[in-house]
Amino acid sequence: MMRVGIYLISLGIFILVLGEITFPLNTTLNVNNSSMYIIPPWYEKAKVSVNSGSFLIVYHNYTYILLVKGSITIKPASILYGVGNASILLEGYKIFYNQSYIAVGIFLIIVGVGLEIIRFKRRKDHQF
Amino acid sequence: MGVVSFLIKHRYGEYGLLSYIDLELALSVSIVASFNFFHPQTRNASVDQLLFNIITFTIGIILSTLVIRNICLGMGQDLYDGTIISFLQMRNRRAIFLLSYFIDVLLIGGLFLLIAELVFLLSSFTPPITWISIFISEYLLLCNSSYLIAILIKRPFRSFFISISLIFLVLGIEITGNMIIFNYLLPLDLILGHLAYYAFRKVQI
Repeated sequence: MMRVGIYLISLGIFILVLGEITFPLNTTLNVNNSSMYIIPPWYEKAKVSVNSGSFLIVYHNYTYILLVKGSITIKPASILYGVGNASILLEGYKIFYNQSYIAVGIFLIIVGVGLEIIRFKRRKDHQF
Repeated sequence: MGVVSFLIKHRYGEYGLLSYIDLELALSVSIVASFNFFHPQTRNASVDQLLFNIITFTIGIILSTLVIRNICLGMGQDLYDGTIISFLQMRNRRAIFLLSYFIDVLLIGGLFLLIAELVFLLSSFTPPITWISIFISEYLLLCNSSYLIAILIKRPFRSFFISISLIFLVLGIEITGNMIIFNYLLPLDLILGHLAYYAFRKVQI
């Protein structure tokens, strides 16, 4: 008999681990004269440094900060408004960034454990 | 023990399918990661259609290499030393061909499509819907022709080397940038599968 339960448990553990791991992958982006720029949310943190012009950074809980000079480290999924030239250093790449992967992984593990228990019981009944 | 579980145990052993599933998850994660390596600011694959096609095509070649190894060294070995006779005693030829084709080719491909769609959904990666047709036509072309070669030659290693040279031909098509031809090759795959079925019905064991 195919051991579907083992496959589901392995998939669930794999998804949970891949969601927890942060890959050491860094990139630099340049923003020129953008009216609105969303920082990609699949990075751990972003360091915005302004070369010229002024930028308004709006966080996802609607607090904001005006950046004219220097640099700041912010969390991703923020929005940049402004005119000028800024460079963004993105650090820490994630595969699954929203929290739905936890529910899916735990669901797969629970279904797999249930299937394995059913299989184990049925096998025990057959043997004895 | 039914013939399906017998065939699965014969082809993959106790935990062979488990390693295939883990590898498919890793391959589908690598599609997302390699696309973001070139375009870090977006996860919408229709921004760069050509790059996404190249990535999917390379992943498909890796997956079909593993499946071809399974076909040639499994089915070819069965035909060579006559293990297939013990299956043919359980069912007729048509059922044995369809079941072994399903377990060798369609099971791995279908599982890859399911797992890749799950990973794309969880990581909010939006590929164009035509990636399924391109992947399936390439995968089925390699696997069906390898099935036909393995049944016609009936030797495990010779058919394996011929199939590997076929993979290099497809790799050449990818490098020269003519991948769009695989949109039109799906009928050829079905013809090759039917030829493999016809050859299996007439083969002398």
